[in-house]
Amino acid sequence: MLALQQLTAIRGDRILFDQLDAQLLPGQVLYITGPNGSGKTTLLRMLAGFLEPQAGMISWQQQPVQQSPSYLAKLLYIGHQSGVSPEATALENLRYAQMLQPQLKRHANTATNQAMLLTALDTLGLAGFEHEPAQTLSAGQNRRIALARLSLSQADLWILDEPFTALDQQAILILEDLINRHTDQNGLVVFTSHQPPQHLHHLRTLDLAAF
Amino acid sequence: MLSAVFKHELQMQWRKPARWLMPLGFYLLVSTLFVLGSAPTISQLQSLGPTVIWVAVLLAVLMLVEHLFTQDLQNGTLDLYMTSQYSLSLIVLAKLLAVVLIILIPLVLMTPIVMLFFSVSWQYVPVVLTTVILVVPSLLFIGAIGAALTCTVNRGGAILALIVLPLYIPVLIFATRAIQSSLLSLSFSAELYFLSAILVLSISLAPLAISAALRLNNQ
Repeated sequence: MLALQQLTAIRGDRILFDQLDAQLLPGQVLYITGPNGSGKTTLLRMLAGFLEPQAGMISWQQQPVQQSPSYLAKLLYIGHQSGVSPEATALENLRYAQMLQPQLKRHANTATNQAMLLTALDTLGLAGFEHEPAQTLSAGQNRRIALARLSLSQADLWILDEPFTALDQQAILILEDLINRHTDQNGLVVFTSHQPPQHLHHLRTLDLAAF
Repeated sequence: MLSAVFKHELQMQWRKPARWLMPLGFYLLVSTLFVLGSAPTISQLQSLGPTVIWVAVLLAVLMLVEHLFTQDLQNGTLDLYMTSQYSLSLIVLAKLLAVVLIILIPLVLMTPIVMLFFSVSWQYVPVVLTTVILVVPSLLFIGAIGAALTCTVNRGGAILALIVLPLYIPVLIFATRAIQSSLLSLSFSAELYFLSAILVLSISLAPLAISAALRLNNQ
């Protein structure tokens, strides 16, 4: 369970949000919305541990995340910049992201894992582009490379910043399907978006304009 | 994990050779210009040699270091590192060791040739190369602290030079002194000990400073 208590974020001398309370149970999706500059990305980066809240607390399984060493292992963050190296191929990028997670790394060089990586890329519609350098692919395809990490992930909590940007209609459906399958298996998802999602189950909305 | 980051960084550097070929070309060019521009007496060239070689190496490393973290920051690779359970300092260490390898090998190959420009004889090659091997990693690790601090600054090159060049002074002094002493057939072991100490300190401590600076710049 992820709980946000009385969170406050200040950037410069502007209060982005104040006294924010929210709770997310296993199997739920938290859709964060709000106008530009309302602190959506800041909130997600707080949840991923990049910056500390000016006040308040984020807790995971009743423990503050700073004191919970297992939190990073349970977390998968895909930001606005999706962490894809332009010189590496789609497959190399996916394998590298996997190598950085100890629980996935053990089998990283086996043939079964290779097949899993290819399936993950195929799921995201990147079949045929596995060995293309990311810089020769489009923005949407780069995003798909990053999102392929989701289908391999064993993390409980997905934090996705604008995951639908640059995606076409087909990829949006694939991503919504991935999120639904994750929550069906008791996963948690927090994401931001400017287009309201169409087909997500167990959706809860948090409007930052209210804080 | 260390080996995965190391290998990834080698691959990325290899696929964008301009990043490290430019500093190497700069090194070669600056030292050549000095030889062409100075009075062609052998004694003058010899006394100038070590200083020029070291200043050129120093600036070349500074060029290389400038964009070490900007791309990782901009394309989100740094986010990937920071949400990894591995320590960011270790990841940085692995990355920098790969860059050291990529710049050190060509420098070791080029420096004997540059020494010839200054008519420093072959018998001094071992001393000079020892200093190169001891010093270049230190320069890179120290420079990377500055690069991590300035990676969000637009056109941060000038401010990077202002931060880092003063820190290079001890290394510069000991490195040139070592070569000059050996040219005068004096003992230079003290200088090598100091350079080794700086090397150990910078490899072990710089990654901590770098990861702190990167965290600060990637909030």
